[in-house]
Amino acid sequence: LSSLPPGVNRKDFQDAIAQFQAAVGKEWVFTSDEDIDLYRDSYSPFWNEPEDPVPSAALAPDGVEQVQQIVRIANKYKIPLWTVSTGKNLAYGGSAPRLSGSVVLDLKRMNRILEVNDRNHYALVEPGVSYFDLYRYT
Amino acid sequence: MRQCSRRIFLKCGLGAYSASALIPPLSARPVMPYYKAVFDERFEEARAFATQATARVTPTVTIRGDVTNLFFNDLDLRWKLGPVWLIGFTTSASLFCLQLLARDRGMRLRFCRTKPNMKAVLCVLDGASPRDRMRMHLPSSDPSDLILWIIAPSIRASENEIAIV
Repeated sequence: LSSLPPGVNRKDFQDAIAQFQAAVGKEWVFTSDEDIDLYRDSYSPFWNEPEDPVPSAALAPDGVEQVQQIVRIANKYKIPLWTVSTGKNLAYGGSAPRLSGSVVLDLKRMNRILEVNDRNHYALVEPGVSYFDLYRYT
Repeated sequence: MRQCSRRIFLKCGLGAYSASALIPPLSARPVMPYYKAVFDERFEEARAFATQATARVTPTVTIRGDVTNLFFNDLDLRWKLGPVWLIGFTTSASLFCLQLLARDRGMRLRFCRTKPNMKAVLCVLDGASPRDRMRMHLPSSDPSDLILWIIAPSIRASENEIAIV
């Protein structure tokens, strides 16, 4: 189901995956078909056709430092990243990458509400915070 | 072979009686560890499903199409503790939303059947473990189609963190 990132051979990709696993933990690197399926466009008119964009893997870091490590590894192997916060914007492709073979950087675990400032009317949140999370918090 | 004395006979009889008093009859026992059985009360078939679920000691929860309250006041809080088994009889539109919300908490759609008959519903409620590994379920062409479904911890989650219901 999944495809390799464009221009990256299998060995390099496997090396990169091993390094991603070391960076974020094995359980947060998704490569199985069952997991990859969740990072596809549910409404794609090209479902299961060659034009249907399918990621090569997905990663779910839990903090800024892990994101930095991921970007360094991706840059080393020239692997394209596709970033999503929760990936629920279904009408715009959900969490599916634009370019087949990209690695999806899923920020759903970064869901901390850092500050809600009543006086100046702003909230500082991590990218995985949903409207429901913020509503419950306030 | 030693004969059974009257004392032993009475002891065994009392033991069996005590055990049967502690164990509820088969029909009243939960056969699967479902956290909740979700049903759409607008549909007669879904209400019948809920009746059968209740008879099997599975807690039921009602929706009317919209899953917002169910998610916000119940599932979201429960899922923060870990993935659980859910069974439901809802429209495909409701299932689609629940499935999307569940997948980020380590759960997957394990089974779904459109417009099942009551025999199939009873089989699933009684623990016939469907082995269909479902791919991402798309809303059917008619979003009001009734679907029997099971959302369960993913294999990955099952290995690590299935919560006690």
